[in-house]
Amino acid sequence: MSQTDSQTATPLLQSLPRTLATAIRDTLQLYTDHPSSREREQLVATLAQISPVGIFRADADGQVTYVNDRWCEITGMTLEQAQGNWSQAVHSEDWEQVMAAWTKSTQTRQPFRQEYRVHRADDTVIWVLGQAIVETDEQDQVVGYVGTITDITDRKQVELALQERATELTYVNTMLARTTALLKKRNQELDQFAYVASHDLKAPLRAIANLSEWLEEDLDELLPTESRHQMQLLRGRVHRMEALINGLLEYSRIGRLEAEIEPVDVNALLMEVIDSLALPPTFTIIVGKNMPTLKTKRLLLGQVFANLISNAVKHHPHDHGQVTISVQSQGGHYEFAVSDDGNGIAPEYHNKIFTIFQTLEARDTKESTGIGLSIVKKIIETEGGSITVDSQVGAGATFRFTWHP
Amino acid sequence: MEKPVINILLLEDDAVDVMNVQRAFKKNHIVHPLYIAQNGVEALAMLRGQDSEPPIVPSDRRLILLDLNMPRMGGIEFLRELRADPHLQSIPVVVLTTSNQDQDRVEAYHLNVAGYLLKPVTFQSFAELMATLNKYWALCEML
Repeated sequence: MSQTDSQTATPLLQSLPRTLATAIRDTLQLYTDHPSSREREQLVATLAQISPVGIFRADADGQVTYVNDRWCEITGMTLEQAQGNWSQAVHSEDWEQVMAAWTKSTQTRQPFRQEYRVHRADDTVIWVLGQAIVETDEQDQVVGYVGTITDITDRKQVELALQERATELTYVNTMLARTTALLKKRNQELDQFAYVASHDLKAPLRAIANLSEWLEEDLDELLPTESRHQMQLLRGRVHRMEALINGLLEYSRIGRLEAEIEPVDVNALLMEVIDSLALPPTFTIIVGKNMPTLKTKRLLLGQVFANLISNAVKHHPHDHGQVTISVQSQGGHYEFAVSDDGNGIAPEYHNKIFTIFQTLEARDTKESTGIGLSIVKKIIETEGGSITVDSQVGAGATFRFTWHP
Repeated sequence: MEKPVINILLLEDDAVDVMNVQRAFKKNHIVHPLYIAQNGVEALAMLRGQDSEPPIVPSDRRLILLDLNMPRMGGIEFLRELRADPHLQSIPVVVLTTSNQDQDRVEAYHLNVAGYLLKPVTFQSFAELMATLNKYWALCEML
């Protein structure tokens, strides 16, 4: 083999495992150093035998003249079969592509390199990487081809599995997008429903309230005190129902409301909230000194505080009392606490109070719809936080919630 | 001198809401004649007159109080018909509704309403609203 040949062989060597490439290079060197050595023939034979890739050689017409054992192993063909027609082992679906590439390589003298399937005699199908280069003589005439065949079934299987996963992932993503779109639509429907329901439900209520008032007015002295009281009860129920409808509407709006994120001085926010609640002056509200300034949805945080503070006052057993608001920084987020010195809540009710429309007292004794705490919980959870209550009967209650800026 | 009457046409399908207006008139001693139509079709007939009969609502000094949610022909649809009729297009219309939807409000003003009022929840507030309305229209020079 001439120097040119060993140079032509270089691209092929680069694609082989390093140790094998080194071995082949050494052999080629041996060829050059001892062109007639017996030793070299033996070395080539050994090399061909231990090679993890199949090796073949073909003449200028593409007729196979040599294959090593590994080649026979991979293709499942004998040398005789290979000499007949080596291409018969190529999988029918890949045959055309392989032949086209081979023809192109022989015409352009460029290295051949194709990944394709081999249909073996035992009917198993494997993936191979076939490579070949052109051998030329001193006159630059093609004398033949030498090449390798590598079993890449394992890699191909991983690739195919990966492709399958990718397809699966794409499918799941599509489903997710569709579900999101559906959810958005459902939310819009719910919004519309809430509006219609609140509008259409409130109209008859208003009529009932008006009619009872007119009855009372028209009958005036004719109406016994008891009936007059019943008329008042009737209107009280009407107003409660209206409050329920309004609360429901408010509850359904949370999470769909686009609240703006802005820097919020919590101390100032609390002052504003407390002022707007117009609490009885007999109640003392103590705000901790270390209130932070954070970037958050001002409207929502204010709504949470307003509900918790007004709840503490509304459900207080006395007409005087104290509500304390404190805060603890916990790394990335804050934990706020609203404590009162009221009656406290028995532990068995701690979960129940956050459920919509649940109140612990008879509805007539307090102006309460049972929506406030469920609104608070929904806001906090929508914003990624959580709320807990810490209370014993007779020892006041502390509502603690986490808030992520 | 006696104040001239205003011929008021109320478009309202809810009987209690009609009573609401009537009682508010009574409470404020408003004596203008009040004509009632339950939907837009009925109202147009009362304004135009049928079979060469004169219209039920006298054709001068007219004012329309309009509810938006009505069967057969809703308030906005009625307004469109009204503004398209050369004989009726100049009648002032005050919308009286429970609908606070932006779309209704915008459409109503596009059709040149003289006012857009939300029905108050309590009768007391409603009666006050009617009194204010009466005072305002008493000041207006009408066609």
